[in-house]
Amino acid sequence: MLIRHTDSSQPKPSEITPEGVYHERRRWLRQCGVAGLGLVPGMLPAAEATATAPYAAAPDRADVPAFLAQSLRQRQRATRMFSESVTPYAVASGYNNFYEFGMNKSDPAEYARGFRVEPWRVRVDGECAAPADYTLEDLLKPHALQDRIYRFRCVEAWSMVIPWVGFPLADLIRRVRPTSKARYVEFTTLHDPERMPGQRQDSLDWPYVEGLRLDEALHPLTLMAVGMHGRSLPPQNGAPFRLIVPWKYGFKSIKSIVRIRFTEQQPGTTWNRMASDEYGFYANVNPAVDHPRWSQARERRLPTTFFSPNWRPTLPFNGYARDVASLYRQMDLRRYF
Amino acid sequence: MSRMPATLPGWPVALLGLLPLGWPVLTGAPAFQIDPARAWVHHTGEVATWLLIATLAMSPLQRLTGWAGWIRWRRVLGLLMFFYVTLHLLAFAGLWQGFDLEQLTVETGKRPYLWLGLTAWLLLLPLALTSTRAAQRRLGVRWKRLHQAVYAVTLLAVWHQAWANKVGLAGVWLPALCLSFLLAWRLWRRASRKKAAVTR
Repeated sequence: MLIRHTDSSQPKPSEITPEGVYHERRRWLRQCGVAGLGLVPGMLPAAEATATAPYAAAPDRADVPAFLAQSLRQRQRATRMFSESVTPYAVASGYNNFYEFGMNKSDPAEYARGFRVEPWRVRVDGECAAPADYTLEDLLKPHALQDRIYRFRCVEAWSMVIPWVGFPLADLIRRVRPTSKARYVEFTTLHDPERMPGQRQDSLDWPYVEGLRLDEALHPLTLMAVGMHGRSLPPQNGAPFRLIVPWKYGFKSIKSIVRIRFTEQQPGTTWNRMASDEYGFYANVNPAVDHPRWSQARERRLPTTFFSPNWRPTLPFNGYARDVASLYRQMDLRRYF
Repeated sequence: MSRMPATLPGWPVALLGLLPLGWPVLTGAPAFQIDPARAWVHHTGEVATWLLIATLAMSPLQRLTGWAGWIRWRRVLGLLMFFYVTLHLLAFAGLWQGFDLEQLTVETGKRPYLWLGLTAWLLLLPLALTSTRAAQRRLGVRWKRLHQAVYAVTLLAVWHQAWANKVGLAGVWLPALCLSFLLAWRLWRRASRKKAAVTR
């Protein structure tokens, strides 16, 4: 029997532009441009840009290591527009919760400037067949990078749309072969108060730890990101290596990871340990389950303006219910929030 | 101190107190461009807290320095504080909630720390209205008692801020410490005055 698995993050065959048409697009555009020359001379470059890129690529830092620059260049690019407009790079990299670099939204951009991410090592251990310390290059090498445009919903009821660059966590997990005992994956952020000034205060119980159930970690939507907006991750967004779980509140998508551990027991995660009545282990985006101190039924899509807070309804599983709801089929989502 | 004039005018204080309104323009802080609602709510709340501290610091300063001019500034500072608390309320209701009455009711129901803030503003309202010299004369002894409500406002303000916070007391402890110090000074003075009256 053929079991057809549809992956909504992949384009449908009907949406893929045939190669011939693709190669002809410049000529076609040129013709359009010539036709419209007398009327709107500025139309040509604009039309070309929107026809090929759903987001504006941001310039990268000058000292990106060669292996990363090459992987980024060879990434599978998003060619389809996302149904919602992509949050500008300046906003996504200027408004961050990353307490390792301070507690205000603008602190990470300010205090993470110059954060050194080379060399970067990630320890993979626990219940797996290939525990080792990997360099970032080792981790990236076997995987092709791809653009993934995802909604990002913070537990504080604001949201963005971000074009990440990464590869499925599942690919990494298959490579390191978890044992039959592995049921959870635990992630740890770098702990280095010298480089992360926010860690000199005990605002959180350092190091930051997050975790997923193994089936969540293996889900094709779960991404390990090394870039965004077509460039390498800026430090305030979790350089050089972070998790992205688009159907969960943002605090689950742990940044600047130095350790991935496979466990039998559910990991003790940072926010859950801080306030277990406010931040659950699952933390799936759910408009029907409020945070004890505020409503989760809607969200402000950033950037907002002085005249409009830009509210929009929050979607179950952040709009990815069709892909992930089955992971939680037998569960009471009010209890396991 | 003898060369000091009896009082100094209040308007320079008022002008200084209005400077924080220009803060987003002066600093070009990105938060005001990316998420103006949140930035203005936080900014006005913070400025109001520090103005509350300044207001409450005036009578201790007068006692300690012997200069009466401090008390004259207390009125200006108190009114500025009320102005920023009002802006704080408007920023929350308007910029953040878009003056959506239905959502405001829902949100207030779910966020108990909003009741605390609203109560504090309601308590400040009669104080602001009776801040004129004429009201002070008309109310006499009762004016003083009425204006002691500012101590309740202080407690509400600290509680409101601490409860609204995502983690612990980060960002709250410093103003809270200043305010406790100012309240403790008053309790200590009251106690020592009582003791003096008894021994006499």
